[in-house]
Amino acid sequence: MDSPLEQFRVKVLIPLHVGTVDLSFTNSSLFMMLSALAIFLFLGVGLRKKSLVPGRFQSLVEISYELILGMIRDNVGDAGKQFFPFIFSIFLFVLFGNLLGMIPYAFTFTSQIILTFGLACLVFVAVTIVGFLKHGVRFFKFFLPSGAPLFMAPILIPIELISYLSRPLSLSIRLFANMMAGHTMLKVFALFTVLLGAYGISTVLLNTILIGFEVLVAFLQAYVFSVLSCLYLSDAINMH
Amino acid sequence: MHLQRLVVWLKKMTMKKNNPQTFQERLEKVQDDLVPRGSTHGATPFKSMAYGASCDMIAALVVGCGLGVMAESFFPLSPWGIILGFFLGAITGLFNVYKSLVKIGYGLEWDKVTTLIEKKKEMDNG
Repeated sequence: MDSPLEQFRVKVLIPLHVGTVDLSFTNSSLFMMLSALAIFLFLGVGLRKKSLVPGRFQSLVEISYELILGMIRDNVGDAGKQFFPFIFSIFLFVLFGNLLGMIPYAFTFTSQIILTFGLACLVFVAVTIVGFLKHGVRFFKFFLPSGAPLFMAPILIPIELISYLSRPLSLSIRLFANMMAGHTMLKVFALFTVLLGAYGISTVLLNTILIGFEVLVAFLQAYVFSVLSCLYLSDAINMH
Repeated sequence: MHLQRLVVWLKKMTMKKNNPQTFQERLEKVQDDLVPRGSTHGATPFKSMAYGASCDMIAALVVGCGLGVMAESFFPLSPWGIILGFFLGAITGLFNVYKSLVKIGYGLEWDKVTTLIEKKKEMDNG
């Protein structure tokens, strides 16, 4: 019987090596492409009619659009509106990645820390660039909290620096740990169902409830990832 | 009779809150929605805050130790680089938790801390 962690194994589908760099097309790459395609279809089909009174699909697109726009307005303010495409893309990519992973035999690419860390680094680098472009050298003032006594600076600056550098790691661990733990738990309970034979019905019921929770977690984690990206962006723009 | 009145009053109240009837009310609601909002950090539910705090603590510890190891590879600090990095990371993790508590109103911001220190000094001086 497969280990519950077997589902996270990255398998090479099309081997491809350029020099010493391994550019193989893996199951992770396939599901990332499927996720991008699903987003394209979701937005394309939803906005095809562009009717004044939206239908079900158009409402779904509009709700997700307004959710992210409202989130940016609440957390960053009006100055953050120009970053809407960035946050919206990240939200949809993570959400569709999480939801695609809920399909049996599908691969959950958001359970790979290298991917979540890559996404978090993208946010981190973008936010740092925005901070420097907006405030220049004054962005370094961010590492000394406003109102803090000056004699505390030698302690506070290293602490704030470590806190700032730990952001991408914290952001990536949050998403990766949630997805990996949830999917492992589902597989463990599924194994119980097989092992318990006729009594396995109890774990089937439990697994059904857990799948519902996991769908909720899929939405929640995509939302949390976007909210934290917004908060980091707010720190860079509003400097507090 | 009283029950009927109560039902009518409740209907009126809910209509006023959720569905602005007059044009003026609807206009005010739309204008209110269009007003640019400032940056407001909403309160986070405690469960997700606790999970976030644990992630923050682990990340700060890993980054602190990582910086310590990096410092050891550039300067002859072994083993003090990783020890100092570990402690700085741990302090940063706790400090992050404190900051998230301050955000939801359970702690003192730096301005208030400075004011308290100044008051204490004034009291000590007489």
